[in-house]
Amino acid sequence: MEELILEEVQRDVFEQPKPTIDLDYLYSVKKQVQEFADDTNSQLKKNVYQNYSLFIESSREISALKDEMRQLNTLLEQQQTSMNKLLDQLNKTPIIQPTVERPKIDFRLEVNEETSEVEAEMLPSWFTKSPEDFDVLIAQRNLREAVELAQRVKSHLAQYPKCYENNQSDLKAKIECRLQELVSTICSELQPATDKSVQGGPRSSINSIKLLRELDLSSRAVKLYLDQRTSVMRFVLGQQKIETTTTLQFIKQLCSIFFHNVIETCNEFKQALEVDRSVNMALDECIDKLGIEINRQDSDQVLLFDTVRPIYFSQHPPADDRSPKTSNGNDISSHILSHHTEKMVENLSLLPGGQTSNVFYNLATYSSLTYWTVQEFENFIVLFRNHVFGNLQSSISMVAESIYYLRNQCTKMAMYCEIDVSMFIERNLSKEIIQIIEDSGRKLFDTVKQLDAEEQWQPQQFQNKAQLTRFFEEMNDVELKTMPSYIFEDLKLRFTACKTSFARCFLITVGDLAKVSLAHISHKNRSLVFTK
Amino acid sequence: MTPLNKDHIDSVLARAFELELESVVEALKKVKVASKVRFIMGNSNFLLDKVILVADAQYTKITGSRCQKLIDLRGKYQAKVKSAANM
Repeated sequence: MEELILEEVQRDVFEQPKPTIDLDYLYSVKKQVQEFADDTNSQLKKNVYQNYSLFIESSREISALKDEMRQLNTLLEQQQTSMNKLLDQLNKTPIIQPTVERPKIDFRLEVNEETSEVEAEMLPSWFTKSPEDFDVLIAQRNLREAVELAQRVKSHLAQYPKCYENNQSDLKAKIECRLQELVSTICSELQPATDKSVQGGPRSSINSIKLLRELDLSSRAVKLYLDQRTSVMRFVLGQQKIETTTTLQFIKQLCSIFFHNVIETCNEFKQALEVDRSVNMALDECIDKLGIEINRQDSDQVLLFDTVRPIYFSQHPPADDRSPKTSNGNDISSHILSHHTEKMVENLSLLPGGQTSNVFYNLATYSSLTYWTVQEFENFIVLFRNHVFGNLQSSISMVAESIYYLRNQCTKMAMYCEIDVSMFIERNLSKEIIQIIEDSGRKLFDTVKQLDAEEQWQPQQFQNKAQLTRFFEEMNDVELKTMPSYIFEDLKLRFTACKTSFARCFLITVGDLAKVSLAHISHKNRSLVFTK
Repeated sequence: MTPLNKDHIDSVLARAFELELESVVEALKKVKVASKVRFIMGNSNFLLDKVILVADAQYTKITGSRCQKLIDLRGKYQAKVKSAANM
């Protein structure tokens, strides 16, 4: 019995195949975990700000009660004074006179009523109370309602541009201050986090981008979002360690992470900024208003996009092969918060039509995305080059496979997010690729010469069946699968050992050189593709 | 494929293969024994009918275009080898 159990345990422990974990599965798990973390974070924030909100409400109630008590106190004092005067008069004369103060009070009330009618229209209570409401909404992180209030304030100011006159500078300052605070709060959601949550996907950014767009701050949203993605991607790439895996696996891992992030960013960006709709609108405007003839063919659209300057320009330093140095395991803020992401001064315009859009604005938004993608890809190529070509131990096959993998990832990205960066491989790696071709050629010529010198024109003889089997396996690897049919005597082949060695060496070189060739991009070398 | 790049790769492959085939032709010219000639011809056919075709198929599968220089080499050396064997 014990033996049976022991056998079963051994089978479970030693013979169970290890589960294979692919990168897509890990990404989906990571995404789920991130979603749970976001939910919990959001719940916590809501609870904290709910309490804060109750505290503020209570404070306001107390303050109002205090004011009412003060007024009551004043009234009582006035009553007491009146009573004292009446008593005095009663002591002097028996006739009770009505209070002489009353007509004066009535007059003052009438004046106040006239003024308040005008003021009520220009300065309704919701408007005057808006700074406090902003405080509450921002504290609750109820940014959606805060933005709606900001829009309401903006349209009120458009309707009553003079409402701040008549000694309302204090209110003006308060409202402007709260609006800036609102913008800063939304922007802070797009700043790279200062802890490990930086590794989360861009999903949580979509609401912030939409809110900034509603405040006519699309440019800022674009800049902050793309800078955030740059920081996150560089951090994640910097975290990868080569020690744990082979060079080829490491390169594939880097490529996979890079392209996964870029595709995710492109999709998120397009969704949050409604790029597809905007670009189509811009093209319609070109045709209808500006009279520009656009065929809606790729080539024409590329020409059009070439005339548009992106609204985003990266100020991140170029990437190098060194990983970011972290002071401890968690705090990465000093590495990811570059000078331009820490502070960005841009005033929120409260005037109507603060940021007028034109036909090129929407195109410029998309141009920013393609500009960012190209910048990031060129930075990634630096990292790729350092790891693939910087290592003297790298074999030609490894280098070829790395380039092939990179190119396939580019094709995949072009398919998923309509931005093709394949041509930048040629631009950035052509020197290295030519070197690979020459090295492979030299190595092959040397092999041919050496084998010719050794050629005896005798059938290849194998010592035993194991040797023969190994030979068949090696030939199978280079697609020469019919070798068993060329065995004519026991353990003898119809060809010489030099010829089969040449065949194997030549076919390996063909595979390597085909992988570094640029045939894959010849038919789609269309610059950055805009296929709407 | 960039013409320069494709041309470069095709030339490297064709030159190496041609070097190998030239050694076969030279051997055929020197050998007089019929059985030896048949054996060398068998090796030559292996290179021209098997290795070149597998190489071209592999190249086409990866790049999407054929290696024309290798194909041209096949036609040229089939005739050349036959002629050397008959000498």
